[in-house]
Amino acid sequence: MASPPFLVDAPLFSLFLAAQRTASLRHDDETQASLINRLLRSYLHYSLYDQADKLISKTNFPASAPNSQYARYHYFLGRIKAVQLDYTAAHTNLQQAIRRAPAPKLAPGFYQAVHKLFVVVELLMGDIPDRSLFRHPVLEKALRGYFDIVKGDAFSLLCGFHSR
Amino acid sequence: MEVDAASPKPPPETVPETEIYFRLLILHHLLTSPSTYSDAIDLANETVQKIQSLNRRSLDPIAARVWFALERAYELGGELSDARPYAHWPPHLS
Repeated sequence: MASPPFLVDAPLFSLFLAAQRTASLRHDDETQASLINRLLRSYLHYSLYDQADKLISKTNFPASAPNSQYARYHYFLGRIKAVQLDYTAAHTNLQQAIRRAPAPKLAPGFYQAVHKLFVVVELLMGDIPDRSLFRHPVLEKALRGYFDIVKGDAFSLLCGFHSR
Repeated sequence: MEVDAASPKPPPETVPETEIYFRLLILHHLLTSPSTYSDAIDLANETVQKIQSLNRRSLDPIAARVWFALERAYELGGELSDARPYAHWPPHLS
């Protein structure tokens, strides 16, 4: 699916890309990490998965970036891999995102968003997600719908179908 | 004994970091209500230009957060395609 040309040329993308390159030259790891994440978030906001993938392949995410940036980066990677049907890679990235995420009570929104995708990827892989996830105080309400799917008898039949 | 008249102390020099920090705080405040989203976009653009013109390494950590606020301002307040053009136009990844 071709992306509309005006979005690809949006001046804001150019600004971010230029600043990212500058930060990389100056070894300004935190700014570079933040900008890569800004770009990924903007691309994904408009479903520009190819652009996002290109950015990832052409840049090195700085190793010394803070956890907060890593958590976002792994989440974006998880989303991209999931859309590309690479569920194993998506799963690994989302696990990293969960590991690097701030405490659930401090950032419940992020924790919930990552876990929603995590559960969906596990379901797509034919695995049954760990039930204790659904009882987590921060996740309980957010994952309600997914829990209903997991509980259903039809789902266990489907999982049996996968393993045959 | 003569008492010297207190010589007015020169005002302490303000460090650019303080100004950028205040801008960042105001930015986040503007991002809390829809009526001020466009102001947030203007302030964010202005602040980014300031940071780039100052070009100080000590501003880098704050710059990282200003970029976040800039993106958030555009997300909330406008379309990315409305972004105002900047002086430098490097080729984007193709």
